[in-house]
Amino acid sequence: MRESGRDKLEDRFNSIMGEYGPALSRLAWGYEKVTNVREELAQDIALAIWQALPHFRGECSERTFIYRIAHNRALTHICKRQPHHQPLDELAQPLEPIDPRPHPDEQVEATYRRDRLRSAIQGLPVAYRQVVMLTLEELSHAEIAEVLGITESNVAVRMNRAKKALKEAMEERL
Amino acid sequence: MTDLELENWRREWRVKTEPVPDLKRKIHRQNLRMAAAVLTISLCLTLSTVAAVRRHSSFMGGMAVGIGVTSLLVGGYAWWVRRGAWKPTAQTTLAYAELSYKRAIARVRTLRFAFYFLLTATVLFTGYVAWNWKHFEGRSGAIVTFMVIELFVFRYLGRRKKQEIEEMKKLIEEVRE
Repeated sequence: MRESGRDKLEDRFNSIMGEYGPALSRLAWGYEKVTNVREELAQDIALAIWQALPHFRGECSERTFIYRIAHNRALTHICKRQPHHQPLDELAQPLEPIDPRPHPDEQVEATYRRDRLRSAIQGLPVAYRQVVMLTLEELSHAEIAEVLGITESNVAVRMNRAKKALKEAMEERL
Repeated sequence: MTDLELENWRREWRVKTEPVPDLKRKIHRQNLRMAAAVLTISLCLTLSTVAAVRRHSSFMGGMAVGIGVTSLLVGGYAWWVRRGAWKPTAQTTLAYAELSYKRAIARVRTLRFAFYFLLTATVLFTGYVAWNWKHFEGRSGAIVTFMVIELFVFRYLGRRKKQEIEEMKKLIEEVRE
């Protein structure tokens, strides 16, 4: 039996979510601190990808396409979010279940370092935050430029400033 | 600062990720909301029209016309103010931010239009009810109450949207930096 267009689309979507799901989840972390709202944002991003997928004509790579949609959806989320949802001095989220590792102290330390990094990224201005998150997801400068619609030299400049800002933010959180 | 530092951040960033929540839940909820809205308007319109025809009731006829005209006017206005805000001018963060800004402004305008339209309707209907106070019925009072509550809801939504516009402005400035 011939596979219908919808089935193909679903297969493609599922494979995208399999490949990029963790990255999209991390991206949601960069834009939203509150767990429930973050889950909602991750769903919104997935939904936006699902809706945009039929219109993807291969003008850019699939990776660029996915990140572009995700970041633009997250951007809309920041504007819609009510200020009381995410005070900057909000207490850190409770520790998540910890993976099995040799020593509990190391686990706590690793979780602390990760939360500190996430919190520092969340505090960066959006323009820097996007460049940092995409760099941490191992996108090249050319890909980041394509995702954000800016020049490669602009990416480099933003990344330099973002690194400094992130380093300072990390030190403040020590 | 070294690339080693970046590598460490990368490792910390990528370690342990929450799974993406089930999308079907979201689609289901979104579809339900949309269906509920369309169903409510259609049901009100159909019931009031049928009641008006069967009972030759001018009250129900008026209500059917009111709902129909309101839906058309507010819907038409919403569509009109959203012109130029259907899609981004480019595939860039700035273009999307600007698109969201335009849409937020369109929503504020629509809400303002709906508010004043409803305010006028409320004043006129209240005047009509007061004029015919001898034939006052409970349902007229219920309709006036409902209209007043709706006015407050529109006001509240309008304020929230204005906050959204302020956030948008800040964001656009940040992205333009």
